[in-house]
Amino acid sequence: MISISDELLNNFIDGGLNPEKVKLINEAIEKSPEVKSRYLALVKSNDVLLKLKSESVSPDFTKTVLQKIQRRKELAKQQKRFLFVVLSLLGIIALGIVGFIFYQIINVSAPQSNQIVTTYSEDVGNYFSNLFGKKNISVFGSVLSFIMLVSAYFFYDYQRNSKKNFMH
Amino acid sequence: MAVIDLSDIEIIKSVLKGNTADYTVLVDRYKNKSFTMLKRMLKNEFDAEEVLMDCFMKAYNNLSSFKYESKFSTWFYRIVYNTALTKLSGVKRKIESQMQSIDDLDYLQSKYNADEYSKKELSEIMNKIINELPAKNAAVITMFYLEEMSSEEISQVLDISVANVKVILHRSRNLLKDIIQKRNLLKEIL
Repeated sequence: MISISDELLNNFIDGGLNPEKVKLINEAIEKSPEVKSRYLALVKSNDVLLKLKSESVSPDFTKTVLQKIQRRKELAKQQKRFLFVVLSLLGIIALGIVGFIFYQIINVSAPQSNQIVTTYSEDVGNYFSNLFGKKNISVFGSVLSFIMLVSAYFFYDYQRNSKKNFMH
Repeated sequence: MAVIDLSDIEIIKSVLKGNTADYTVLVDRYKNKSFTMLKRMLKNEFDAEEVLMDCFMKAYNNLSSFKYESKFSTWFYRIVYNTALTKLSGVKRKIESQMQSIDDLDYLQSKYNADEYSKKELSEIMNKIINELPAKNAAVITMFYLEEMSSEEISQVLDISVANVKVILHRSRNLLKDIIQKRNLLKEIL
């Protein structure tokens, strides 16, 4: 007769044995009080585990999850909007710079075309010329850098606060 | 058909279509069982609820990456288990959980065989023991008995072999069996 280990009895309880072994264990349980005692104790422990109940979360848990999801959605929208504004601003500045460069190129390569340019566009050109002129370019660059630094700080601060709100 | 009667997959599809509120059905369906598992793993009610909230947010944010190859429960419990492990690794309990390995349940056996526990209800002792089991054992017990997951599903969640899942299950059951035998509780059932 083979020794009936706890492992074998556990597999017997789980129904993971072939019919031959099942027969063998049934016989062992009938004949040996020691095996029967171990088997019944295992069945009992299995029953106790089956009767374990789940514990409950706080009553407003689901509501809080939904609120957090909605807050996160709102946050994502705000981030998109903020990025759109910043990118638009940068796009306008880039367009201005490109426009100015083109104007300068046209001015240098074909001075006669100036005759075609209307007075209005000449004024705009002069304005940009002054704005990006040697005197103002460093001031303009500094102001732009300052604006970008301030925007970056506010964006960082905004993100940090939003994350804090989201966490608690 | 009411949303509450829908299957997990149908609810996921609905949420992905923009019906965010339907996600609450999934939350209600899994919150208590996964909370029980987390509480047993983390040994702390507050941490368990905080981690569970994080898990539901993670699941929501990654719902579009759910591939429908496994059950939602398997996928979700994997998130729960891994998040709990991350939480555990960040606190002192890391040392505790490393010491209390799968092969080290003897301390529980000797503790609960002591005389001071001899007059307490068996179910009360069982609860205490399960709450003190190492994280992995507690997770396996909860998923198997409470969530009624198969050994195969549990092995997917824990990323271990089916044989290892069975070893953990049987060792936990053996621990309880030894306590039952030592306390002569068999007389009650024989």
